[in-house]
Amino acid sequence: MPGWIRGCAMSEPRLDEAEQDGAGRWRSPAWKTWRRLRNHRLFMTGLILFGLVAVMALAAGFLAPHPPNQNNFRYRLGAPTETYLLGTDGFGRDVLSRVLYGARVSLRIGLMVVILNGILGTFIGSTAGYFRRLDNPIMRLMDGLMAFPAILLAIALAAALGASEINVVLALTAAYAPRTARIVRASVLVIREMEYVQAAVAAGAGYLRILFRHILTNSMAPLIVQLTFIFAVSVLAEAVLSFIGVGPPPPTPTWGNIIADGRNYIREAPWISLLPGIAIAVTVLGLNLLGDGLRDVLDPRMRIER
Amino acid sequence: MGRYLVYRLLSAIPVLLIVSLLSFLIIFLVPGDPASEIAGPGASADEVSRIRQSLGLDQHVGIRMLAWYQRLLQGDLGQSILLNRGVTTAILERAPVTLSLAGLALVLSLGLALVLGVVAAVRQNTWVDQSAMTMALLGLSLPDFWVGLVMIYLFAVLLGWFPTGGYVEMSKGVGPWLRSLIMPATALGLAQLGLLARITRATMLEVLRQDYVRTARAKGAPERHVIGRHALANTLIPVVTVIGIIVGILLGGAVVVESVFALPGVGRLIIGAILRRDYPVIQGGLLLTASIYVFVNILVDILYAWLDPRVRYE
Repeated sequence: MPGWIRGCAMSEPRLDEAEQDGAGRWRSPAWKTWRRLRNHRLFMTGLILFGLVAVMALAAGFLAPHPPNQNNFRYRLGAPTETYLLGTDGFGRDVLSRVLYGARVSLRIGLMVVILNGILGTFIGSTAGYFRRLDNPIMRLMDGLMAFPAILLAIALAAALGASEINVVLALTAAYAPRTARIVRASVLVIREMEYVQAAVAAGAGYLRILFRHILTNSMAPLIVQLTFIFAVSVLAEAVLSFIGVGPPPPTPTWGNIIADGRNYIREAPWISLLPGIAIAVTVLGLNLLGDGLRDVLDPRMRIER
Repeated sequence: MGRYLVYRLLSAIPVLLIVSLLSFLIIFLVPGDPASEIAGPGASADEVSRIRQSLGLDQHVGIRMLAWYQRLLQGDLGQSILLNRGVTTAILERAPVTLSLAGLALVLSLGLALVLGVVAAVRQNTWVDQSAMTMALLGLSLPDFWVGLVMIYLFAVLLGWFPTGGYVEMSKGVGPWLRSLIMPATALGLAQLGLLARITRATMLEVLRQDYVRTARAKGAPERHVIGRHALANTLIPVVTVIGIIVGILLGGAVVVESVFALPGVGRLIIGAILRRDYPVIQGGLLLTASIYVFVNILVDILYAWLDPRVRYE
């Protein structure tokens, strides 16, 4: 784009009232967003819950009283005591330590799925939304993928590829990326018709520039909200995969496979399955609250009435 | 309406083609030779080649694909490697279990969700609203298989009210049938409950602001008529559209819940097939669940167009 057009559009600094704080100082949009989020009670609850789990994951090595795979065969299926705060499993391993280390696996997988989903979903969705000719074939393929129950598709893919952490990530990405793509496409379709995009076209900007600079930057809000929910869903789905036995292979502690272990001893040692389930619920609840809050603040069109 | 119906049915064809193609292709994801994977590490070369032949893996991909579509047109999903019977038969034998489970879960979650959603909307921003929506959010956040285990421990192991698992056919009495399904259906319905309650509440809030609700109140209709008749009827229309999505989640959830409660349904059949690499069953099961999803969504769209004539003319 020629420099003078950019100059015309951007030369006046917009110092309107909305971007100042009470004392009249100029504040960045990011600061305003953060202030609105901070006042959102449910968002902050979600942040605390998720923060708790994140601390568990980061400090697992420091918090865990035992190594996660250390066996104590003299104390198998042991009830909670002072040494084993939450009891031991069938191999005499400390349940608390395994749950703490399990947080690492869950969050690592969730984060990788979110990143891959964001990249792939943006690529597919913006291609379909921006290039009219590709729209129909791409979206029919996405419809086809979405016709399979996501969790079933993920199980089938993970089992076919072989049980490993990276394959779980790939399977979950394939299962959930079509949904992300559909959301990105929807906002690209709307933004493509905006006047500022037409202005950029008229100014002779290339399609990559228009796509990245003008369209995608303005369709970030629904994507961020969607990715928060994808994070929640992939933590749940990873637990299901691990529970069924197509997750990261043992002895890696994951919340799903700890619950699966506990299932075999539900009469003698019900405590094994209890804690990892609560950990999953806290993580997913936290992420769902974060997602709801972000949607309220970033994307008011999709707002659910409060 | 006729034109809309034809259009909607025709639009399913490309999706079904893609779904059947993806179901066929899944076998190519297995690294290495599927035949020796299925046979296991200790299998003799003879056995491997027998499996390869029975799967038709010794033939060209194009020929296999043609055969797959030829069989599909005849309603034949192929032969199971492990079960010694046709995939279609195996699925049909187990379908009543899954249908009962999913149906009961849908009825339970929809019933409770409507109550929660309507009450929350009518008492917006009160403690009633907040606790209803907290329940909805919990429903969305709790892992269903874990809730199933907790219920098994509480109500089967400790209290002995329900069996720990297994399925009793309806022909042996409705009571025992319900008893065998009530816990799995509750576990399965949780997520749907959350989703449906939130949508009901949001729609109800919107409906309550409409002119016809004000008119109903103005003409002196009692509040329970305004809510129960005028508002609820109009709230149900958008809720119907979500049922299409819900069925997809139910089918996926049934897979996991059936294995927790040892219910001999289609979900457990597919999981077993996935874990033991019984490819014809995996392909057939995936194709069938996806086709059900596609057809339910067509039905929902048609129902929606019938309930709300505005949709037809768009």
